[in-house]
Amino acid sequence: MKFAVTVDPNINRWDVIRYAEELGFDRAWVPDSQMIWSDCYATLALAAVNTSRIEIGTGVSIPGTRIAPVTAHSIGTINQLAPGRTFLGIGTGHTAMRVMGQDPMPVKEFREYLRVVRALLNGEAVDYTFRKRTTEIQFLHRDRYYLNLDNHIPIYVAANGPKACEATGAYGDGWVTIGGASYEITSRLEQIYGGAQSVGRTLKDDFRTSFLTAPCILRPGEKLTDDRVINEVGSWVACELHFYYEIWKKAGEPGELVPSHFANVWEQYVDRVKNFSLPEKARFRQIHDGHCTYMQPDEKHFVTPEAIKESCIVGTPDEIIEQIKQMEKNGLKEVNLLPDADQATKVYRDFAELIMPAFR
Amino acid sequence: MKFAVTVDPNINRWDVIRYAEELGFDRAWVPDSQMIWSDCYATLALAAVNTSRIEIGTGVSIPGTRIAPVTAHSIGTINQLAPGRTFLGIGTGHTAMRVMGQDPMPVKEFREYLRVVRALLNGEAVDYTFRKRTTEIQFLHRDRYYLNLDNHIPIYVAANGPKACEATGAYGDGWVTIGGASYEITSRLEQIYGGAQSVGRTLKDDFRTSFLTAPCILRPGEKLTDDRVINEVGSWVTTELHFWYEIWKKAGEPEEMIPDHFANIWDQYTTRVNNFSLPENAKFRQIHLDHATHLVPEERCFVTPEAIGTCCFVGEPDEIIERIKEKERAGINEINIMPMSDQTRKVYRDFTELVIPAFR
Repeated sequence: MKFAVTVDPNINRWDVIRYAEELGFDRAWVPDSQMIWSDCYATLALAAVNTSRIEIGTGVSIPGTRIAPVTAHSIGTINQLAPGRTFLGIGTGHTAMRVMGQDPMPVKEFREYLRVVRALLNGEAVDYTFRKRTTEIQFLHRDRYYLNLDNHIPIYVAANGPKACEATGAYGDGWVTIGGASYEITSRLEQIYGGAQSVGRTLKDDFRTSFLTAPCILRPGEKLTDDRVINEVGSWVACELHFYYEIWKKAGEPGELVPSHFANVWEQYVDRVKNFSLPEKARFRQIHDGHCTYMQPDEKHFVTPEAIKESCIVGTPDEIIEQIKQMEKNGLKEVNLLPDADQATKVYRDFAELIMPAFR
Repeated sequence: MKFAVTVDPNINRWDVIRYAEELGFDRAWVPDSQMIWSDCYATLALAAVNTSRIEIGTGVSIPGTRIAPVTAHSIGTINQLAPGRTFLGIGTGHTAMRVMGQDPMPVKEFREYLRVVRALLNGEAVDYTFRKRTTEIQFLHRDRYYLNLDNHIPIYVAANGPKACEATGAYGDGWVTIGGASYEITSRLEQIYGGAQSVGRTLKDDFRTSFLTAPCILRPGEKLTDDRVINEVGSWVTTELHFWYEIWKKAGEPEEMIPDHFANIWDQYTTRVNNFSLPENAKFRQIHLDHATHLVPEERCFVTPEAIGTCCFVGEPDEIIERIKEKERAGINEINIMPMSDQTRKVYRDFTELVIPAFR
């Protein structure tokens, strides 16, 4: 089992990644969301020159906001600074799009995007369509090392639906997922393996799988309603709430899309959104305030024990170790932590001291 | 008169910018071209943390490859590292597009792009249309300083045509131009001032104008056919040649578009392009190989005295000082030099020792 952290790209705090390296984490993921965070490649550049072992990359980058050649050249640049320890995580863009009131990229386009990025990072010439004109592009003068294409850059795809899972199998070296029951993980992995097969690829044992969550290690006597717990996982739980709300709203508000772990706060949350001061075409800014970084103070009461249990890994060290072992049996090879930004270093240390030794 | 350098974004050589700072240059421009160079924002991040006085920015960034909010957040990230000394240069994308066999962005879209970037960098909420849906976007939680929007980020626009010049006046704090006789500069400046007026802006004396060129300071007895001269300016001259070729080709190969200073080698160059090994949908890769950074050895014969005399600032120190003074009278307040990549340090030093003191 590998252990990773996901760090909001804060250009003032790239040193959190160096700290994760010192603690023994294997990998650091830096997400890409232009309305709320710093440029992820600028942040990765500073992390790259200040670390020497930890793997670093995007987690995840967003195809709709930069064209495929830009994404490929940006991660290729980081790979020149951190050769052989750079990866590209990529997804259709839940937040980066929703914080502009837009939708994630359609899967068909996403698959095409992956095809172009993979070929460019392989150093190949590839047919690329831009504004309806198709040309054959390739990175020039590779021997000048503006980019490093010599060390393979693995691509992790964030995928949930069947088509996206197939694309993951076709072009990915790994898969990243957020939550999901055992049977869901197994069935998605089957779709990924199917997607690989359909293009004549055989995924080997080194196919990577990463599970993103927020953790909180309980001390004896602590409860899920304690402030410390809510402070560490609140931003994550609220982020899931915002996500489910958007999905539900988009689908026409069907009752069956209300997740059971948010059922007891759903109406209250829906009321909250209705009362936001901004008009419909700008309300997304209030919904996603603090996304995956900090908890909006007025949303503390949505971080209920039911929601925490379902969305996070929370428990005593032994309980968490047991949960992780179960995940391992399901085919997951990495646990990837995204605590509240203000609590990050403390949570990392807890995990490094109390959980990781059981897997070394 | 200010003095600037344009440095190809080479993630291994950001220290060239520190060297330019040490020599006393006022500003360093880092261009954006995804098929040939490193990520400009990653390069700027490393330059930012390793310098303290020199102004840094893109020179120029390309709107067609990243959406407007991404460009704004990327330069806002750099401004957090180098507060108050960060700028955004932006143009429709000659090379970044042509090295993919595509066209620069149409001016109407470009103007809209500038409007969105300017508003976002002002911290304002702005209507933004993405895939035909318009929403009102704004950078969130500005107080967390993922970006620095407190220190004004000036925008320089690279513009030649009348519509682009008008857009420059409407949204720019400055203008960057390549070549052009003094009367052309004056007439474009008039268009820029007109563009400002049409939106109720009055450009003040601090409106910035930057003139980009390649310099070579001749020692007594040196000639334009000497190897040293060709080595310093050859990449710039051939970059102009490639540019004029593309314009000419696109326009249907009209005789009158062949620039005088390339007339004597034009047939020879078109024959060369006709004989390139790649097919039409990929030939651009051979045309733009080593763009603006190196001289392709087979193209040395195109770097003639006529071409050098027109495209570059070449001469003994007094001659160059006189040419710069002439540009100053035409309304230019910055000279921006881009020598061949391998020669940069030497050319910067020459310029600092022999030309800049006449203006201090």
